[in-house]
Amino acid sequence: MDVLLLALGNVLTPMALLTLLLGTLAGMTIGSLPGLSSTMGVALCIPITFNMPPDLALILLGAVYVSSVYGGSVTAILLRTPGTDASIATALDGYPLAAAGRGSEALGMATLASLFGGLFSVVVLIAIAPPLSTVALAFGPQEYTVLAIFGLVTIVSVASDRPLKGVLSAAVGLVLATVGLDTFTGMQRFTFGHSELFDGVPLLPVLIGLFSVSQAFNLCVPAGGGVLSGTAQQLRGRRLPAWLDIRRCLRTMLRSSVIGSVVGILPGAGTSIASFISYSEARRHSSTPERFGKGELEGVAASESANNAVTGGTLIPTLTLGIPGNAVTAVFIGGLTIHGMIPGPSLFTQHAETTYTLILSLLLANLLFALVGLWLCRHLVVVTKVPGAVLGPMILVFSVIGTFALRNEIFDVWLALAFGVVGFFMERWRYPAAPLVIALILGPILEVNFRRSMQIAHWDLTTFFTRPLSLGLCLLVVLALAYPLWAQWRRRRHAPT
Amino acid sequence: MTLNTIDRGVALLLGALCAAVVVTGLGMRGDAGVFPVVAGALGGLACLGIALGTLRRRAPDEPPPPLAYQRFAVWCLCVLGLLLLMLSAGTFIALPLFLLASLRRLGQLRWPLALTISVVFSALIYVVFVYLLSVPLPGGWLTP
Amino acid sequence: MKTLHMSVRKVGLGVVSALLATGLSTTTLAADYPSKPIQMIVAFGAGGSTDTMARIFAKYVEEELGQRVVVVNRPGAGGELGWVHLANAAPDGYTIGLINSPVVEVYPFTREESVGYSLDDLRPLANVITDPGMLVVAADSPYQNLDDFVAAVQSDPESIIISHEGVGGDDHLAALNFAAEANVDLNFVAYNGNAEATASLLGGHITAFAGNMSEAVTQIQEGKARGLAIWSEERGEPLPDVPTGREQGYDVLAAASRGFAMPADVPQEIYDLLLEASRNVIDNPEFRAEMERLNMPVDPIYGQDYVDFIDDSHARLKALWEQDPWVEQ
Repeated sequence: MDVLLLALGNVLTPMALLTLLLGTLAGMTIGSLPGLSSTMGVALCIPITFNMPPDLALILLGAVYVSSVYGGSVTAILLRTPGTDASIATALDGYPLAAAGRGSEALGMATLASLFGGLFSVVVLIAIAPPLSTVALAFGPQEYTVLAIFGLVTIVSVASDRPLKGVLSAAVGLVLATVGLDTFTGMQRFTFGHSELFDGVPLLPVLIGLFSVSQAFNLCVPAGGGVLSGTAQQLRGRRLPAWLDIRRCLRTMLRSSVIGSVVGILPGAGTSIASFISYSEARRHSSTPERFGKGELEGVAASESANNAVTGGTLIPTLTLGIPGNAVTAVFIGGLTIHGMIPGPSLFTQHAETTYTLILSLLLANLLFALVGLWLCRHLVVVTKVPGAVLGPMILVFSVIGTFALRNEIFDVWLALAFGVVGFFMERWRYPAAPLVIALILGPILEVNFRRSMQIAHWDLTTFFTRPLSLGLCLLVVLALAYPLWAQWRRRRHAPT
Repeated sequence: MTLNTIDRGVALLLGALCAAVVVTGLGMRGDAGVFPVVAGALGGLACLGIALGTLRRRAPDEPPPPLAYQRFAVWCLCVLGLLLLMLSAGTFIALPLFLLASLRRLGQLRWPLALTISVVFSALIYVVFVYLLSVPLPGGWLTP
Repeated sequence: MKTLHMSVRKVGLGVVSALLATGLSTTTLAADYPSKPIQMIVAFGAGGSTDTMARIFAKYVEEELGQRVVVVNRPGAGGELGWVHLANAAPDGYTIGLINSPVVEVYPFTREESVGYSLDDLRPLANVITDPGMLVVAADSPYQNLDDFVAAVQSDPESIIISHEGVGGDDHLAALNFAAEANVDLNFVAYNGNAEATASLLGGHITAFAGNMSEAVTQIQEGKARGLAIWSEERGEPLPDVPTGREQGYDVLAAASRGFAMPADVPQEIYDLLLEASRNVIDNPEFRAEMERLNMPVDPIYGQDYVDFIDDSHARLKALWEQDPWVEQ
């Protein structure tokens, strides 16, 4: 407790608060630009922290991390240009809301949900980090395999009205996911000799292409196009979500925060699995699942509380075991060690003051971005009134430059443009793009873990059902698949038309 | 072209591609081919389902939303021009020209406004990506 | 599209070499060097261990040269893309880059048909870090030394599972070398990074972890893992209790080294100047202290010695490859 008070003292100095504010603003900006990921944001801050005292350095890194994950939701909702894979699920419902003139409300809900998820995971981090970290170790390749399948099952809820087209889109994503040098055999698969493809089809250029570039096409090509659809062309609805709506979403936020925190602890999973599973679970538990994908505040709340809960979750194995929960926290470890703090139990004893300073600053950063976000949302939403042909070129420029900045590779820019055209026609011809991206993210996780399991178990498929944790996950998958079918069947029987 | 015709074409094309993936996957060494085969087969099945669906279902067939071909062509030219000019003349010659062209031609903005937006926006990109993040954007003619 | 980009690059190169040929002698170039920021190409992503070292080195070398050093990440194809960029850069001293041995030496023959650079295109400058390979088991593992481990592999080869980070990487090569020494077949599982592999090891999903010292130090010092062997001539400084492979009768030497290289045709004066600057950085006690905190063992090899080091390693690995390729073609 004393340590917490000491840490609180550290966070509440003017210098620390200034660092926190700057970090939060920088993080929000970085997160909202396509191509600038949280990983990049944190990595770019590391050299700045070299000459800072450890407290301030960690405050800066923490603030950039949590607020960049939130920042992604702003452009995902208002412009349907998710900056990273973490906010794809947010765009699914957020953008239809913005198009209907309710962008401010959607942003407000996203902000509150992010705050909820972020705070939840930080509280978990303070309260039960060491025991929870064993979750990271309990997951072996078998469990990751089933988890990836769980993630893929969510495609059902994303593409429910055109299941076959959804499956085709996902299959294309899975095929794309096999491109590259195979880590197991060293064999080149579908690279056609292009060394740019040896590491696989890069995810973010495809994502930016399918969402942002195609959105630039959508906005520019129709005469008089724009975000706000219909003839009224005005902002409707409330500035902030109604208290009733917030209360309605509380259960979803809580469930998503738990999912996000747990998935965050797993080093091999990734933020997007958490937000997709939460989204699909929210839909499964909803009394009006048919409204998901067409502008349902609950969908925004599910995805956003999950992806911000991941931030605290990823820090649990990072700080307690020295095993980074994702790419961002891997960079974090670098930042910690440079300041002489070796991740592991000693962080909570020897360096407890600095560690708790970091954790408290995460709390404050969450509050800060929420305040800034709630204040900004009514102003930001004006963006949706700008004519499409003015927004489109700017989105395209950000996409092109952002894609290039990912790894300074012009090949990726051509790739993003190609997928932009593909995405444009997919939308016109009613093929959903999200399944392709989900499959491209989860395909490699599924494949490497499946093959690892098979190598460990010598091609004995029962290994997935003989381990308790893996069996439990299998049951969840079956439940997630069977429940919507059962519900549909029941509804048909009870309401014959 | 109606959506059903398009679906049939897409199914045929992607079905062939998926078949090629399966065949290539079968020839791969060790367990490297397992996933390509499974993914390709899944895609093939989906294509089959889509193709059958277009043949069986008679009722709902509609054309896709109308496409403004002229604007589409202009926009594609602008984007292609941006990339080619970026690689030859340099990023910060290409960006304002692209913005100016598309804002004028597609957005029908007046000259002063279009020019201001182009220059300010390009400057913003310069500050964020070159000055703050030191991204080595293609410099072209402007590099010493 | 790619060819267009390449041709633009070639034109750029052509202009530079034309300038060099027509009057502008290399001495005048060297005299005011460095007159503009220097690009440091890192062939791996931002935030990785190679990148962290590069950024720290850049900070110190900036002070030496009195000029900005900009780190540019060009990750892709396990480092190959970055080295292609480095090899093709203008040899004017304004582009330097990190090379990771032994990976940089093996691509020219393991990827013979597609590789975009040759070792002759690069001139190694100075090695900074040598991170020895290790074989690590969990703390509750029954195996105390390599003999225990080999005995277990001999009695039940299928139950022993050992991780590595990609076929043909230094961890994999070290483990293969060990398997050949011990005359056993190892059961490998590939991992994408040491985070997942460490979690799998501590969680008991795999038997052993083939990695580098810097990746294992924390877990060993915390008492969660045990080093069976370190593949170096002497024991590692932070881990004095872990015996070397040679001490246990297995003649295996393996390490991952990180150093700097430049495009091959760089003027000698500039090469010497940068060599001197690197020497000063590596001798700087503050730099050493930062490397120590990151568990990166400093191992300076300068100039021609480094060139020979890379060439020797290349010849040795190529012979191994021709004998028994680890990736079937």
